[in-house]
Parts: sequence; C-alpha cells; structure tokens
Amino acid sequence: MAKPTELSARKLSINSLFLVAIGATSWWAIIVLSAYSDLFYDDYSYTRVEEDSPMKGEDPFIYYDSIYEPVIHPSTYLSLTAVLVFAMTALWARQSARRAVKIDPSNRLVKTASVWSFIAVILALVLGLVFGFATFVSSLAQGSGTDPLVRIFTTYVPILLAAALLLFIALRGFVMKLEVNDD
Amino acid sequence: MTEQKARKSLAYGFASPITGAALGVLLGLAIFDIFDTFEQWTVVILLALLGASIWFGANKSGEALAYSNKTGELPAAKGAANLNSILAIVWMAVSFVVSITMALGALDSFIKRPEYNGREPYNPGDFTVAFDFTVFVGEFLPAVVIVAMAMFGFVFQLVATSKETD
Repeated sequence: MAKPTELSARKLSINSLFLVAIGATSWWAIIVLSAYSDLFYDDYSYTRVEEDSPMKGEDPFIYYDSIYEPVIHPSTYLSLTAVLVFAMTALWARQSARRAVKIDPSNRLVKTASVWSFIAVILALVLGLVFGFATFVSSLAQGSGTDPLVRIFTTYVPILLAAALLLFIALRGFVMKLEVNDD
Repeated sequence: MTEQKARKSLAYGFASPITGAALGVLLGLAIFDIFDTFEQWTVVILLALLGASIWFGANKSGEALAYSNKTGELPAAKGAANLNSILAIVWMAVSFVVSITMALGALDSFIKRPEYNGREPYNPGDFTVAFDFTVFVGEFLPAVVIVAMAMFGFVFQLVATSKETD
C-alpha cells in the first residue's frame, strides 16, 4: 500500500467511502446467507400423534406435536461474522479518512468521507450491541433446561465474542487511532 | 465556467431529483395500472431512475458549487448540493431496506411444501428447500442489483456533490 503522502486526499476519501460501501454490501450478503442457513436448522421437531376419539365409532384425532430441542444455528456465528466484516471495513475506512483529513482538512469530499466513516464505526458498534442483546433475550426465551453444550455455543460464546468485538472496535476506533492534527 | 453555465447547472441541480422522483412515481403508477402487478424488476428500474436523477442533480450542483467556491457568487449552490446529498442518503437507506426485505422474501420462496389434501393434518416440519431458477432471477437477483446499486451509487452521488474544480 502506498504512503498517505503519495495519495491525494481526494483519492483517500473515495477509497474510504468505497470501503464503507463494500462493508455494508458484505454485511447484507452474510446476513442473507445466515437467513438461508436458518432454513435448514429448526429448534422444533414434529411427531405425529394419534389419539382415540372420545366418541366411539369416530375417527381418531391426529395432529403433529412440536417438541422443543434447541440446536446450534450457524446463523448465530454468520451474523457475528457480518458485524465483524462491517466493523473491519469501517475501521479501515476511518483510518483512510483520517489520513485524508491530515492532508487536506478543508476539502468537502474529505469532510464527507470523515463523517461517513465515523457513522460506519458507530453503526458497527450499534450492530454488535444489537447482536449481543438479541442473543441474550433469545437465551432467556430458550429456558435453562437446554443441553449445556448447545447453551454454551448458542448464548455464552456468541455474547463473549460480541463483547470482545465491541471492545476491539471501540479501542481501535477511538483510542488506538492514527495521530492527526484535526479530529 | 461562465456564470450563465453555473446558473444552468444550479437549475439542473435543483430540478433533476424532483423531476426524477415525479417521473418514477408516475411510471410506477402507470405500470401498476396497465399490468395490474408490481414485479421486483420494476422496483429496480424505478430505484435506478431515481438514483440516476439524484446523481445527475448531484453532479450539476457540484459544478455550481465549485464555481461558487471560486467566485463567491451563487450562494444557492451549497443548498442544491446539500439537497442532493440528503436525497442521496434517503435513496440509499430506502434502497437498502427494500433490497434486504426483497432478498429475505425470496429465500422464503425457495421453501416447497406438499399440497394440502384436507385429510392429513398439517405438519409444519414437512418442507424442502430447493433452488428455483425462476425465483432466483425474478425475486433474489433484483435484491442483489438494488443493494449494489444503492451502496456504490451512493458513493458516486457523494463524490459528485464534492467537486473541487468546475
């Protein structure tokens, strides 16, 4: 990769905006893939039940009974991957925009790229937070009588990974950032 | 760029997104009235028309803004550039939501359930997921086109409003 001084502020800004667009499109694609994978994993299994009719001579009462057996959904980890990919591109875009600000802070496109890369980082944090909270709420709905291994990999591990990702985004985005004159 | 040209660009900058939106709405209504249906590819065409009109408006307002920055004249150029930027954001957000809704709806169309004969009770687990080329082209592909158009079109629109030279 070329040094910041070798690239114009305008080019860096365009790169930054394209990175945000690539991140958002990747997030979209992985979320659709995770929704597709959910079609193959169901927390319910169905068994055919045949009960005798209370009235003699009538046909038996037949229905499908649902049994709740939670399984590990790949969609949980795919959704987390979607947030991770978006966050990485957002952080990269932020870095690129900050370099552009260092070169030419008064340029309109540089300001636009700076604002959008900042919004993308905040959005990545919000998506990570929503993921963690949704996993927590769904774990409450799941109940505590689930298989411990399934419970660990459907709730504890994803929440832990989401927390680590949030911490990384916050530190990389706002603390361990490139030194520039104008924020 | 002369002042006359800059004024013309400014006029296009204001007129293009409004004209595009009006044309898009009228075209959508006409398609619905004539064919009595609103297919996914129609949405793609309407969003593309709207996006192109915003891009054209952004481009022209960007030219006017560059002239304004150089000469100090045409203060309305900033307003036109901001208007197109805001419209670009709204267009991108709407297109993104439409595309993800369309894609998730298309995934549901891949589910095939057996015909209900009225004698057997309904079994929620009795379905298969099968790839259907018609669903893919008619429902899923438009969603992919819309998201790509929204994301990358948005970048082009933002770049167009931020011209440094006329």
